[in-house]
Amino acid sequence: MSNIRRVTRLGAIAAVGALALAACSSNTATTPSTSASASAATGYNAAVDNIVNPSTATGGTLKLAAQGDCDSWDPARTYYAYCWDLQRLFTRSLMGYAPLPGAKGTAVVPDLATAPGAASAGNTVWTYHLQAGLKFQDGSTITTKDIKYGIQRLYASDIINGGPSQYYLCLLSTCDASGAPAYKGPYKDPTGDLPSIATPDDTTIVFTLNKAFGDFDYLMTLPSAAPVPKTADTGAKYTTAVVSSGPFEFKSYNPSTGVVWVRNPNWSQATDTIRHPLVNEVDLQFVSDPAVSDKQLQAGTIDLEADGGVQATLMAQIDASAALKVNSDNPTTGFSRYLAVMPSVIPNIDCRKAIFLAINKADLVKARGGSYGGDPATTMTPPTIPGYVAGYDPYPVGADFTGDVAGAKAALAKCGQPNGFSVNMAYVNKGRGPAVFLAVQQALARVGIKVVSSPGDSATYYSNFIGSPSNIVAKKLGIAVAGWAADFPTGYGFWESIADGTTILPNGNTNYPSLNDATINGLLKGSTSAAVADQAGIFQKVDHAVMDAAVYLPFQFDKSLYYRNARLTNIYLNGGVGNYYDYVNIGVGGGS
Amino acid sequence: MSVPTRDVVDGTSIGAPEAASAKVIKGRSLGQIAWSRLKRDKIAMAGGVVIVVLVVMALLAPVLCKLLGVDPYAFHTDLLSALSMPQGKLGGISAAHPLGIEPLNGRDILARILYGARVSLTIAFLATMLGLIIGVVAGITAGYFGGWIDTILSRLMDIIYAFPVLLFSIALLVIVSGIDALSGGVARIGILVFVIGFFGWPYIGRIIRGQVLSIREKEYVEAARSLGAGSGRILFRELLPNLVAPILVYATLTMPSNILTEAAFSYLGVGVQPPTASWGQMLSDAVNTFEIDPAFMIIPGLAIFITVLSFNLFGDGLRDAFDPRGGR
Amino acid sequence: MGRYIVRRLLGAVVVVWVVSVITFGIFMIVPKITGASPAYLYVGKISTPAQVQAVEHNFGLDLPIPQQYLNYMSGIINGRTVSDGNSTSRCSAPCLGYSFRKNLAVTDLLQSHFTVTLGLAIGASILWLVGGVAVGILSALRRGSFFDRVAMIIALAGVSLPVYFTGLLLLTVFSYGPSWLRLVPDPTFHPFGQDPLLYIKSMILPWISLAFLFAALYARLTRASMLDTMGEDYIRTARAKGLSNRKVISKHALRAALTPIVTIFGLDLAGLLGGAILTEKTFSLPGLGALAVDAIGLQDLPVIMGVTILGSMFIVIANVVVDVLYGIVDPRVTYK
Repeated sequence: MSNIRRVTRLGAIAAVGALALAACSSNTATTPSTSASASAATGYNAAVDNIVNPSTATGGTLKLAAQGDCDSWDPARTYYAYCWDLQRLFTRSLMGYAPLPGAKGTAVVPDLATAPGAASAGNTVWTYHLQAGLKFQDGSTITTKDIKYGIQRLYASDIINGGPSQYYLCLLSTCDASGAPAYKGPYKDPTGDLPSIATPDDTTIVFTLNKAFGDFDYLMTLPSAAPVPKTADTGAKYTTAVVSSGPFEFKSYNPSTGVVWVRNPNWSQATDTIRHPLVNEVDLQFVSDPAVSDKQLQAGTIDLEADGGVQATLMAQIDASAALKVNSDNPTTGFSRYLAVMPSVIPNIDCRKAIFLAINKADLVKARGGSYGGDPATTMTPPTIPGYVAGYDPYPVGADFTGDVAGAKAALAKCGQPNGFSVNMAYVNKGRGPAVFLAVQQALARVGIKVVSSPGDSATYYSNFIGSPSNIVAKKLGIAVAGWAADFPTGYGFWESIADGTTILPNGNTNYPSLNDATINGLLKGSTSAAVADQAGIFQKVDHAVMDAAVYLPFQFDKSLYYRNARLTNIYLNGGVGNYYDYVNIGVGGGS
Repeated sequence: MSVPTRDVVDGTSIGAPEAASAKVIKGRSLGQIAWSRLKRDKIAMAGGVVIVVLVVMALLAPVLCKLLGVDPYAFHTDLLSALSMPQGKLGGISAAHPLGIEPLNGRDILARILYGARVSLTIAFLATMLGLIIGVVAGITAGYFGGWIDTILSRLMDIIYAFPVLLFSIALLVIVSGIDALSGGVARIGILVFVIGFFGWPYIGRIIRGQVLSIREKEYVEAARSLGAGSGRILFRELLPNLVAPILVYATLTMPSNILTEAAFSYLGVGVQPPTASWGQMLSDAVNTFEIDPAFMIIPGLAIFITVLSFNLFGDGLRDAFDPRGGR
Repeated sequence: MGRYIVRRLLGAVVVVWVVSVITFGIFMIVPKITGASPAYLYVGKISTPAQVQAVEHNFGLDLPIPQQYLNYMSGIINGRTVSDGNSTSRCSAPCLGYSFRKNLAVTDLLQSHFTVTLGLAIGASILWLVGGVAVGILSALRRGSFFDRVAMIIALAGVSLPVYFTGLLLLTVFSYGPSWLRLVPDPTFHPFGQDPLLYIKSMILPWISLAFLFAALYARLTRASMLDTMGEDYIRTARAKGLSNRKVISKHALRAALTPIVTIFGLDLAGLLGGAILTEKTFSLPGLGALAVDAIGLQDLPVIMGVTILGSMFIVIANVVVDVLYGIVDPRVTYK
């Protein structure tokens, strides 16, 4: 998921162990979140795996705040994690995530479709059928052609860009060596077609893939697979004129001040098992300073901060006050924070291992804001992804996570640089970046490794500072700070972008160390046609192989400390949307 | 533009102290007269003493830190709470850390204030010198040669005045950091010096030009010229002594404004890079937590305030000493 | 006089034009050196060279720089049709470009942020004019008194305080301090149109922070100017003629002493209207300065250009206006 998100700090003391493993079964029955069977927990961390204040009271306005506008409201062009959650208000796809708290929410369930995709043997042909009675906000019927058109748009990548289109393009069209698909999209090629998607009738859609893809149901949950009516498509300006298929529609949108959504009269509850909207209106206000929105949160003038956790000040206040703490949650977010240690700059694996052992993860967690902000990580796979094994720690740095100085010195001797070496470190010159750099510099100085600052500008850091393998070599960036969360909660969704050596790009690369290992590539490829039951085992192997390569040095599994207004009903954190609150189903206890 | 222009951008007066309108008083003993006046101005002298103390502290920062047993770079995470905030009262003030420690990493604030003084004073001083050199050269050239050279230089000054300087400088500092050769620590200081100094020169340039214009017409210069003295000789022998007063006053009053500008850049995140200590950077770091740890915000703020105030006091006194008419 | 104004205005246009050329040149050329094409910001994760080129083409970034500049300038005069390769938007004159980051014409962005900056500047300038000038006059009239000394020390302290430090101190005391001091418990910005009372409440601290600095400056300037004037021959003459002190001051000294203050005020106000970056940043006000700083972070060139040009326009126009007014107020000035 996009690395661009609000800085989360804090650290939670309470365990979130229940979140450990994501559900892998794709056929979990959906339970409407309003059902009476929901547990009635309250208090600190209650919304992590319970529905807090279950209620069916309707009416009122849910007031959200965010630091700034979403990257785009066009479902095909958004990549911010919280924006995908907000898309649930007005965008429906073939599949969706269950309206359930915590890991239960990672279950994929039919949304527009009647059932999960029927896959051919080998997972290359996927067929879906639409429910009856589906309508856009203008009253027109949603057909499979609208879904196909939504995906066709992704191919106009000079205009429809920014979203996770890399999953679709070469899967549904042939790509040349540079990764450019043959189909150029509906704007440049209005008469052309994307024959891999067949719509034999208005309710049937058949995807014929170029290669096996076991997680295709997950791809169909992403907003980028949402239906877009061709007649309403305004290209780049669609972000200001999105046609709703969900329970809410845009009433007003101002890129500087905020968005107001009201109920979409043409949406029918009977067709939707995921969304059980209670409020009449959702307001999203842009407040550029998160410290200011923290104040509003405390004052009750907003209900939630939509895009991330509270800042240091409110965090300290929550920590000190039981009254505030009962209304807060501290879930893991699914982000692994790590240092990419570049083999192109530091070819000797023992030299890299010296960095792995000299690192001080306790200081790094402190530098990122302390214990509410996350826990020290010992392996890449976060607890929310299949393949995670608690306690797996191939590079132990002591019980207090402060580093294994003797081990690091031994590794340095082995690599032939007993007195250490000098290395450039890339980080974003904003937010937590400088603090993380300093902590790494301090830790590695203990064994003689001199870390030199190489700050990057936040606007281009991921795309062409560390996202360009040639720039990494040119600037000798031996270490780069980054963070990663899965685009969808499966092993493949987590690893494909960061460990697949066959998809390394000249720019906008996300496999920063350019890890290209035949074993890992093979495991990833094999997973796409493997049975669901085998996934955890496969990705455990991937995790071990990646760690053995000593190119990804994970140091923290992120958590966020959220504060929720006490008046909110039916509120829970949904693992399917990155453990954000499931905005579409939150109520405010009725009222006007 | 015929009105004395001052750019006070949002509290950061860039290279333009108010009315350094030192008028030259004729007579050989100008310096002596001024010094005797300055000596009587207790407030100005107090400012001067603080400046000397600050400069000595900055120069001896490594020695002082060693004596006090503090280090500007060492982490003390063991002294932080689970929330990464300093434990104890007033931002973790203790015998070992007389001004407390920073949140997130526990670095000693006193040591960072001392090292920050070096950065702040160095950049401000070099930028002042740069502005001065360009300004004096341009001012003398424009005033002495006149004609089209004067026109070009004067228009150039108008154009620089018309820049929204702070905004433009920030943008410049952001984009040049993408150039490899300019991204290192020393190079960064060089860029800051350039940006701050460059936009400051028209102010002194204009004063110098005015002085040169009036002196040029004076009889003794005419006389020197008719006796066959070369341009260079006239410039150095006759003009420079008369320019000492405005230059000194300008320099003293530009220092504080440059210190503020450097701090503003660091506050906005475009100043020196970590781990180099900088007062503005500390204030900017403190913004996140000043409600729960006000000491971390107040200490660097006071450091800036005291330094700038001392320079202003001294500069004011110096100006009055050269030109008692406008003084207190 | 008329000819003088025309000539000055033409000169002003030239200056703004040069500023625009320099800004445009630097911000187009440097990214070419560093290889940081703004196009990368739009293509997202996958960015094959072909895609980057396509985006550059859509935004006109592949044209030669002089051509891009010409298009920009003609947009200001004639308006411009902006295309992203598929749909087009009409950006009417004076078109300062189109922010693809925000999907808005730059002129619209400038307009909405300018009102915030304008409010900040007007409110603060009223405070500092009233406070600073009054203190300055009193100080000059009672030169050497206890009041004068204290006032001038405070004023010198005022000009030595960074505006953001003043702002943070005010917030610490009046927003986050002990409850009996919490006069502005919610420093969130509220637009005037939404609720004038809340607007004033949210602007009080920014106004005071900014005004304190300028009030200090103006107190010093006014005092110096008054002292200068009181020493002039014609004031002495007036006194010698037997006019009362009050009459001398109100009829002659004040007018002459305040003339330079008014001119400097014009220039200061103009400088602020281009964006009070530090104040806006400290108080999270959505003004021009904050807009520009954010645009710099996003490498949103059209917005950076827009704010720079607008800012330099204010400064240059203020210079012309001030010079002309100066001549009207002060008969000693003649126009060449």
